[in-house]
Order: sequence, then structure tokens, then C-alpha cells
Amino acid sequence: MSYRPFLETLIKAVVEHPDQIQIEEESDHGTRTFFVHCNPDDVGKVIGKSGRVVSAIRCVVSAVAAKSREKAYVKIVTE
Amino acid sequence: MQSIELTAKSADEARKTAAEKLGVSPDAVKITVLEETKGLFGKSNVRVKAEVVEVAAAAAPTAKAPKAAKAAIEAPAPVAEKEAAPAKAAPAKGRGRIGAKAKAEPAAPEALAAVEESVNAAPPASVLEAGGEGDREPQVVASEEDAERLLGLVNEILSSGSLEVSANAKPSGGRYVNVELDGKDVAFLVGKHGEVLNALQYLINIAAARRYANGVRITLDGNNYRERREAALSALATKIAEEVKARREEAVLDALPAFERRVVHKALSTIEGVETYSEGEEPNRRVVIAPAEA
Repeated sequence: MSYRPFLETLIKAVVEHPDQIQIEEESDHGTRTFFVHCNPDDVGKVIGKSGRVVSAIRCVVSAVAAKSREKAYVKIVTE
Repeated sequence: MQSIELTAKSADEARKTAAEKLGVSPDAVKITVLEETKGLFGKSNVRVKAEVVEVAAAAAPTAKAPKAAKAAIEAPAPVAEKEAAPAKAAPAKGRGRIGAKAKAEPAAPEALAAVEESVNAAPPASVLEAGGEGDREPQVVASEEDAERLLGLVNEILSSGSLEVSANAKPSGGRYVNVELDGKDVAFLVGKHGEVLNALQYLINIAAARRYANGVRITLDGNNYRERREAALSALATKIAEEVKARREEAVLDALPAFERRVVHKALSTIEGVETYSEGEEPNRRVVIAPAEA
């Protein structure tokens, strides 16, 4: 029961270049960390004004993760 | 026809209180438990609907307030006030907790542009904001087709999360499509104080704006959360307002999103002796209930 596709759909829904989204996943008992790579132009879209969009994404993903009693962290990778 | 909703510590107590209020004997009251909460320290609460059974028409529906604007504005206050009375005195300091269980009559959401907190009609819109905004802009009316499309989007997102949730959409008549979520996993999607629901709604609206860009927005609801929340908020607000009046000192509520603050302002606009305003910056803007300057 992974919620990675869920995260992927969410992120793809808010960006201009969905095809350039890449997600890496690290898991360590009970926690999962997702590293999201996207087109540099989309970083702003994914993060949003004052981080509103990432916060919303984190909130929803954590909720879904809670269903499998896991913690989820979402990081947007920027160089 | 005679029916009220109230909160008490136990079903028996609720029966007694209800009988008193309705002016009949406890045996003539039919109690339906709507909600039961087990609190910490043994403070459990039951919310019940009490009906007078001897009257033939007792079972008449009571849930919906008439849609007329006047009724919508007047209804919440008196009912909520009644509820607030038996509730125990709240924690000593002014800051209240959201989530009081008392129930006020839900008001028609569209009514009330008057009391609107227009200054901060912020993005995560709910249907509640629709009134003021729609008047200024060219009217966008969501069609069945929009509803279908948005429902598709919602389903696409939900199914990728392998959640046991089903969604239903219907156009609200304005620029909003109301999407109702149903199913086993809805509780996860509502979250504490609807946090998750609001976040998901926000994201879906962004996605919808990017894909369709036609000004149609959605409101998400699960398990009737929005309606219950509105009722709980007005009840809480009324209760705190009574206390503010009694103590003559102001109280600050928890941080709320714009449309929930509006519910509070609206609920208290009909109550004499208190005034409300918001302070702080989004997303930590809070409603302050202050005793009115005499």
C-alpha cells in the first residue's frame, strides 16, 4: 500500500511540466521521505506562495500515510 | 413539530433537560442520540435530538432552516443560545477551544453578504464565500458538464491513493461544484478540524484552474463535515460570547480559515453586547470576541 502514486498525481496536477516530475523515495521503518525533482520553472508552482502548496501537499500526504500508520515527509529538491 | 437538539453529560440528563425546556414530562420526550463523545477525565458528552412524541406531527423534519435570508440570519442565534445555557462554564481563560458539541440550526449558506468578512476573503474558498464574490465578477455558473469533469479530477486523485472513498458531484447553482466524499476512508481525508479536507480542496482547485481555467471551483465535503462544523462553530461562538459578556473581557478563538471566521462573525452579529473582529496574519488570523463599548 504505497501512496507514492498519490503524491505523484497531486504534484503532477499542479505543475506545467508533469512529464518532468521524478520522485525518489527513502523509507526507514515507519517513515518515508519523498524527494521531488521537477523542472526549475515548476519549483514555484510546487511550493506556492509562502509554501502554501507544499504545505497542503504535505498535509494530505501525511493523512494518507497515517492510514498505513506511517509518517511521510515531502521534500522539494532545488539546487 | 416540537423538537430541539441539545448536549448533556448523559442521555438521561438530556431527557430531563429536554423535558424541562419543552415543558412536558420526561416520558413524553423521545430522545435520539446524534453523537456521543468520550472526553478526557470522564467528561463524556452526548448530543441528542429530543422530540415530543405525544404530538402527532412530532416527527416533522427539523434539520433544515428555511432558505429565506431573514430566517438564515435569525435562526442560528436563538437556537444556539438555548444550547449554550446548559453547557458547563468553559475553561477559565478567554481562549476557547473549537469543537464544542452543541448544535445550532444550520443557516442557509448563501444568505448573508452583509456580515461578510470581505477584507480577507482568501483563496481556500468554500461555498460560504460565494455570495459576495459572485456579485462583482461576471457570473460563472457551473454546469453538469463541469461537475462531471471536476468529479473526474477528484476521482483521479483519490484512486491513485488507493483510498476507499467515493465521490459525488453536483453543481451548486453558482460557480461552485460541490463534491461529497463518502466511504470508509473519509475520516482520514477530513482530518483534524478539516485541515486535510481544506488542503485537498485547495490543491484540487489549483489543478482545476490549471486544466480548465473557466472559473469553476469546487468545495469538498465529507460526512457532512462542513455543515457540522458550521453548527459547532456558531454554538461555540455563542457560548464564548455569553462568557465575554459576563466577564467583560475579550476572548480570542483559535486560528481559523477565512470562511470559518465568517461563520463566527455571522453567528455573533445578532447578539447584543459583544463585537467581533479578526487579528493576526493568515494563516494565523483569529477572531476576537470583545464586549461592546457601552
